[in-house]
Amino acid sequence: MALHSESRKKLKTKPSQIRSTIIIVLLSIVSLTYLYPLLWLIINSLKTDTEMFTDPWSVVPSFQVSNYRTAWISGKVGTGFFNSVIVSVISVGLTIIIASMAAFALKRFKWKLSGFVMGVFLIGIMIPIHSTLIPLFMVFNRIKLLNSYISLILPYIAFALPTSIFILGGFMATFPKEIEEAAVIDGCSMKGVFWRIIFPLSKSSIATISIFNFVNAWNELMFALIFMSDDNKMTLPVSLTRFKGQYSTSWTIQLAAVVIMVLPSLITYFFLNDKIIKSLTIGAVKG
Amino acid sequence: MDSMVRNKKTIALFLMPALIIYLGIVAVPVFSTIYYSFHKWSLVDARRFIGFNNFVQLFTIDKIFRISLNNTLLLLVLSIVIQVPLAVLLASVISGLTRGKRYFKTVFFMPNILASVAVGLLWSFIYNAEFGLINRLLIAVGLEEYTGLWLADQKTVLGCIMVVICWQFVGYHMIIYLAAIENIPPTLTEMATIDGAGPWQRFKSITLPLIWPIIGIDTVLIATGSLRYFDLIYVMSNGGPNHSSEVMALYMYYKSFRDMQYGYGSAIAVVLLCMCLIVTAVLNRLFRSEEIQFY
Repeated sequence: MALHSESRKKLKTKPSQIRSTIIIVLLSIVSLTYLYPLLWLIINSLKTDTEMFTDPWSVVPSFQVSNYRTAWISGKVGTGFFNSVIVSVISVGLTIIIASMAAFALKRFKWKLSGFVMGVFLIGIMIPIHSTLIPLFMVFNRIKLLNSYISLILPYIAFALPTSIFILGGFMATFPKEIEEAAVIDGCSMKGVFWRIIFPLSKSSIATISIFNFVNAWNELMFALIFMSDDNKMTLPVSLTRFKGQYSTSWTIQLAAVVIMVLPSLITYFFLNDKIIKSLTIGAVKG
Repeated sequence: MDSMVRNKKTIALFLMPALIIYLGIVAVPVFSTIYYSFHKWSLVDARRFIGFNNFVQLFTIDKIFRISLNNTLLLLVLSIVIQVPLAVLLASVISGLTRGKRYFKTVFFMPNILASVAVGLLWSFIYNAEFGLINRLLIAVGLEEYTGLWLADQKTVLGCIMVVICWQFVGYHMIIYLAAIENIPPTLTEMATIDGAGPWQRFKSITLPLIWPIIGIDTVLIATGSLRYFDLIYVMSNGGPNHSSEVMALYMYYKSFRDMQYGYGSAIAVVLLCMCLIVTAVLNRLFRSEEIQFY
């Protein structure tokens, strides 16, 4: 550290200060291209169409809350929102339980094929959903599962499992072996070990996979587009795509619909950004 | 104790729910898709084995598939050659900041949490020829002759989509490189500085070789991700105008669920799956290098 401050002093000459100022200014300009479009979207979603067409720059809209009401009710964005909440919450909840049970079986038990089975799960990370769409559509169609929540919950869980098991398994493998030994002495079964010790101990990894999977489920389009075509069953992303044709005459209502979709994500991100960034990138580097 | 952690019944009990769902929803359908791809099968035709005919048709006759394949590969290459340097640049610049680091990290990562559908719609407003920000901005600064139709113009549509892809995802890759750069022991850079190495030299001979393995992993990530692009393009251009922004995922969707050609759609899905596997294997080989450790 002494070395550090010494070299710092040597470096703190004029050109390096100018350089860092230039860097900050440039980065700030780039960051505006991220923030301004969202601000522009929110402001213009509160205007009338004529207002937006005559002056898209003005920052004081006439607060057309009716845009939101129209999008929410006639545009069925409200229905989509509700369906998205149900599908995302249930699939994340079930993924947590199913994935941690599997990770427990793979990492805390001794059996020959555990490495192989883990490998089978991990291949799933590479498989694009496109190569499962047609058979799933056929089966769901035959057993009358299309336009039911299950038709989305099942694929969302299945495609969440590989990364979730990978993250949870990695974490569970770090616990000391003595946990099971002590539990046995206390007369606890493996079921008890899981529910009373391993599962609660894994809560930081469970938080990670919950965020990761919730973001994915909330934003997913392709499965939802194909399996939930019914107007009353479609999820939020699908309801936004429907908007394009339906309200092509009123742009500001479309803008309002997009705001309804992004605002909950942005608010959550504002409070939990560190945790969210970590959760979304952790699987990438280790995987 | 030992018998407890070897009990086959308990293992099966814990593993079964995950294994059944995974095999039923992911593994088995993949094989069904491969099987269907050798069949002629649509809403009007009963399923009939036709060997490799679907694939022959895809690669020799189907002009739109050729466009979608070219566009997919173009987006794959562009995604890598634009995003990797940009993300590394942003990460190395931001890692050196004493103030504002957290702000820039948070802002640049932000679009990754938004639905691609919403991002695509937001940008289609921005590109809108009448009220969109881009044309309005060009007019405001007197560059009226450069205004365009953007997403509605065959010449510009792919470029416009590429911009949005970078806008949405570059922050993700930046975070990955930022973590890698911050793992480099500070003494290394300090010693180089004392030896008189400038920022470029430090980057070239310390940072770059140390983050090279991460660049390899990230390149695979971008490549396999870009083969799957669907949401953004579906809402921004829908493959148009005149198929000029058609990509494989989109074409697979249209053939399978609009034209109801299940066999043919399966064949496209199989090509996509193979490309994912091939690209991963090729890039892994390309980037395989000895792990460099300076500790």
